[in-house]
Amino acid sequence: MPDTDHMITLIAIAVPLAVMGAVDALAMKYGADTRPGFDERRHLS
Amino acid sequence: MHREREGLFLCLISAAGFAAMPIFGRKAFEAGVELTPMLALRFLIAAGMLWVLIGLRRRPLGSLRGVALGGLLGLCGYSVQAGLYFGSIQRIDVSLASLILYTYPALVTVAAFALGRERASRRKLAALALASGGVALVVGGGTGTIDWLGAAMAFGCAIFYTGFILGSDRASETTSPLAFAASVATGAALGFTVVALLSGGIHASGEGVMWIALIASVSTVLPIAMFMAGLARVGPSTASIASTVEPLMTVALAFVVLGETLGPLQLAGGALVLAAVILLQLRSKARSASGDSPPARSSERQGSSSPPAASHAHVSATVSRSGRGVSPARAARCADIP
Repeated sequence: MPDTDHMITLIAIAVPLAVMGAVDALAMKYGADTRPGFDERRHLS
Repeated sequence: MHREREGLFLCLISAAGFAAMPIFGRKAFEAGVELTPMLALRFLIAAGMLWVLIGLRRRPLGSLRGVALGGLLGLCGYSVQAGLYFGSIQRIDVSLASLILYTYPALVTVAAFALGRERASRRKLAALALASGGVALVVGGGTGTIDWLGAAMAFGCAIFYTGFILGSDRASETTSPLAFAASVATGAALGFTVVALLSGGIHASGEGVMWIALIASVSTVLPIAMFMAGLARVGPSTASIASTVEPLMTVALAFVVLGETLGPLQLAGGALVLAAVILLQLRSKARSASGDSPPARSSERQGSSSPPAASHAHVSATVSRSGRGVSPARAARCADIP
């Protein structure tokens, strides 16, 4: 596999994984999984 | 102050992520990917990422009805909007398309008048006049010939986006933002996947898949989360105003990456469109300054008996009931832009 193909595969896999890690960290630190006014205790499924 | 600066930074990162989306889209087209397979893969990847993020920590969904409605809106509304937007950037410059799309805050305001959710005011009417004049200059002020179908698709996208924003009002209200975004992405993924499979299957080169993965992650999931995190620190008005840099970033990125340029009249038109958006936002900002303070940490927010009316998601909250929320602009963008 040429280097370019390796690079493309790496980006296509690594970037989404990095983004998920960043979002998970953001959610843990800043509460990015909720929003002002949304009270998950009142809207449990 | 530190908290606000941090929030502003997060909002700007979010805007940059959204701004890069049409650039990545154009690159995907150049890599030979067709529209329907591209959007099917984009939404499949984004939905997968969002559901994994929700499942990973067993984050709350909110009401299942809201999740189901989100899926329906994604299938019938958001998918059309996305199709029109990416279809337009196949035909016209991405900077042009993004400026035309950015008329949606003004369109939401018009719809809010028509639906009786907001009252007309001189400020809002002035913003509408600015936005209309701006679009006329952006579309008609170019030096070359314009692809009218491409421009119409971009404007159609703004119209569908407006409908989506207003329609998602109640659906997003009782659903967690990530879950709502995930359900919208899932609905859109379902629609595009079925259409793609019926019309020849989903094919993309390795490079094409890479650009699509960047659209799904850098320009969909990341900016949604960044905006929500930023919003929680600076409040909806500041977050919305900060997000108006998005089309400017797109124009700048299109110039650097794609070599696109706008004529002086088109740039002036873009400035008018942005001025209209800011004018709409400033009203909310003034209200926030006089009353609402930015929401605090999650625990404080949950304990609040009177949460800020404008949440991140869907303008609906803006335009709707309390009438004291943010303007339509970016608040909408968060959960709805998968």
